[in-house]
Amino acid sequence: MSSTDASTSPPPPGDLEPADLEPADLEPAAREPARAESPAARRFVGVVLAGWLVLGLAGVALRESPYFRPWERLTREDAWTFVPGGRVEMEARGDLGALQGVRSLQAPRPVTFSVDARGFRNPAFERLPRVVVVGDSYVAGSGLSDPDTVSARLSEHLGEPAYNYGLQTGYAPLLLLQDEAFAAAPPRLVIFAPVSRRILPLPQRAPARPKSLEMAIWRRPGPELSRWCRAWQRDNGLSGLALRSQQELLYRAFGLPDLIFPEGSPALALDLDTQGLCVPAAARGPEQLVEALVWMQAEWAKRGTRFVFSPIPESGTIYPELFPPEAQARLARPSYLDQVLERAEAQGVPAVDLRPPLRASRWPYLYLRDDSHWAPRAADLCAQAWAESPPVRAALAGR
Amino acid sequence: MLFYEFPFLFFFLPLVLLGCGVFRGARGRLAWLLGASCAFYAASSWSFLPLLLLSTGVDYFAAGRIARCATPAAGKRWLLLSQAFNLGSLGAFKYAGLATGLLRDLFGEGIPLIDAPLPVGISFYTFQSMSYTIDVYRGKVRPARSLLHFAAYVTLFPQLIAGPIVRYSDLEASLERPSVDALRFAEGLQLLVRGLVKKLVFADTLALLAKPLFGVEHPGFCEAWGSMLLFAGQIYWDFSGYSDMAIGLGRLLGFEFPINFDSPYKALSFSEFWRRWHITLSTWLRDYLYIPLGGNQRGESRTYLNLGLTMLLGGLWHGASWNFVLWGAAHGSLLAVERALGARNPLLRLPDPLRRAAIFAAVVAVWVPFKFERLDQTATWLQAMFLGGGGWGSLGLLPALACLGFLALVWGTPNTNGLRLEPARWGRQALLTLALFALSLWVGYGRAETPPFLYFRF
Repeated sequence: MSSTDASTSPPPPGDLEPADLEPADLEPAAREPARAESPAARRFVGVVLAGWLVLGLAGVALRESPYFRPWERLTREDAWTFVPGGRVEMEARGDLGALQGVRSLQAPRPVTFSVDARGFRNPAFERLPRVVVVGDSYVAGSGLSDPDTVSARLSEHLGEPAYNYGLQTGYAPLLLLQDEAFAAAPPRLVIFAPVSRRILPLPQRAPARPKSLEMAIWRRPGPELSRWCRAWQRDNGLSGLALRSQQELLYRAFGLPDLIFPEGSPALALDLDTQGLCVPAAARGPEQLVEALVWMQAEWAKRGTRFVFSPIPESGTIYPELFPPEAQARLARPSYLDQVLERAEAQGVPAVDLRPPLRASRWPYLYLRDDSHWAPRAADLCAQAWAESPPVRAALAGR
Repeated sequence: MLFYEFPFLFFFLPLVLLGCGVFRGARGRLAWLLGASCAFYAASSWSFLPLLLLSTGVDYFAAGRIARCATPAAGKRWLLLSQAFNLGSLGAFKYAGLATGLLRDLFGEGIPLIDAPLPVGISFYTFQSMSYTIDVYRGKVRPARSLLHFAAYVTLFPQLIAGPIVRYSDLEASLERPSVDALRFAEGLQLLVRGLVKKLVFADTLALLAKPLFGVEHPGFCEAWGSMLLFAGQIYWDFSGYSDMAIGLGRLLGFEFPINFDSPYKALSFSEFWRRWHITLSTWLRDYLYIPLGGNQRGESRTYLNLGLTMLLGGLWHGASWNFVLWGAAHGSLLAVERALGARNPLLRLPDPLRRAAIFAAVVAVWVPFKFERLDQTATWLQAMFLGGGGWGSLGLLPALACLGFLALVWGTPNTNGLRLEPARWGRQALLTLALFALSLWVGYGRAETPPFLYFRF
């Protein structure tokens, strides 16, 4: 029915003129005379429902492991920590590779991910170590196996255990300050090592988090149902198939914008905007950050703990030449890291700049090729730099 | 949980249909549907489920009292109570932020700013409940047989969150005795798949192409018109796709919902556009606002006032922000001008295709304030569209092709509301339905992120 034949069709019901209001126009089709049951309709329904069932079963059967990364399998989204005592051994795929969906750009690797009884990525320590590394997914070791995390490497270099307090939240340093176990047994040294894009001004208290995930589920079935739905929408087999086939087609036809070529082979990297490197340094509020650092240092000093700030540089900082020239042109100078480190030191907060050791050993490539995080060698270089740095040595002197 | 999502299509819907097959009795079936609808709502908006149930209870109670009153005057008290509750909750959750913001602008920072989260679907279910108590008061419908009947009507999940705005009279008979047969079920499946194609294949693809254009700081003529054409296509296919899915789901459960769209971009006048766009809202506004205000029966000036007020409130219904007021006012003005010109309207002298294009262009231009919350962005876009502020600009091949494809589809293809299952071609139609189903899932699920239905915001 096109609009030109509207005059021959029944009058539409939506007019604003009461004169045109005919109750009969508003009668739903339910009032139509019942139509005869049709064998053809039964067959139509049978065929369509059979196809529907096949697609549904495919979606369930082809679903890959609930989460493609051990990290995500053990993440408790609403509590920020990991599942206490959790352990996963699996072929891990990088976050960028999994999200991008192009199989040929993925680099699966065997990963072991172990969590202690408190929900942090550590072996079972008999007592809390004197050294704590606090940070985000870089410190927790997304994409890395247990022995390759920066805290495990630091333990090797120091010759004493270091506690991994890496969480998927910017609130990690605040949670550490509120942590009752560390209040009872204050560490000698806290190294705060956020990845550079997540260095943000922080409030002086983290929001409360649930003590027990099971209680949270009991109290909030709606959000849990909603989360379950989101997980199935994201990870069902049909979504995986559709994403992979579409991305493979697009990749072959047009290439990918986020691809870089360290040492000539393709790698996926976060674009410089996401890394925060194209944002002017002043716009990210270095003053507020340094204020927060000074406050944290003072809080730790009250407990006799030395506080060291050591931001982790991202790939754009170490390899700017690999990124598109138009993005490089927008890189702010002086960089945010320059400003933050200078201001922190000027305010008396000990800082370790990780860029020189990484730049000095920049090849082989220091980041995972299908992941937004660093490779084992970069974590080891940073751990070594910390172990040899004057503030860390001073803090641990006389042990 | 959205209609196109895997958990809905492959877990929730089959389970609900299975339950409907198990609970054959009317009460058991209604109780099952009520429970399923509450679970559906809880998955999106758990914390506001009590509000939905409270609103349902208040209106059921008020309508029952109205029906028992001996005189209309006595019933009016209960009607006012019900309307006060409905409008009060709508005002508190949807418009308090706008009102307190306005008061702060006028009287300073001392006024606290209320920024309550919007309960999902409140605009839709509130209007449904309001129409029910008004219709009971007017004697147009009998009060619901039981709270179960009424609660099942209000919460019925296919129409709970974004319409169509179904009246109790539409569903009264089906609540008592649902009419499910193979033919209706087959057509329900066809409608559901048609809606999926409109949403996942058409609307979301246009949204993807329009996104970079809307990011341009100083748009040229081509970018401004191109982006708005794509937005016009996106919002039409998004909402009419949602409506098709809702109507199709209704049929699967044995309910018949009224149509909501009737090829609106083929309209030859603005009043015809409003008879074809979001039909259940425009008829609601007509029956419960425009006509009670006096409609066109109280003189010319009062007619224009009523028209303007109806469209302004219609705009405000879409969201508590000034851009929607502007959008409603613009449509009200166009309707008023069209009415004032009457037979002198120069558009009437144009051939139909040109007239259709002129009405469409105006509708597209009026989508600008609907799209942009900030008035300065609206001004920038309108300037680029009509005053050439940003030069010609460029659109790019894919967006240009998408614009042409959109126009070809909405103007060059027949209206699909009348499509029925043809028994002689059932096999071909079944395969086509399955193919379109698989295609829409492939296109939609392959995207990293599918935008939710636009009308969920309202």
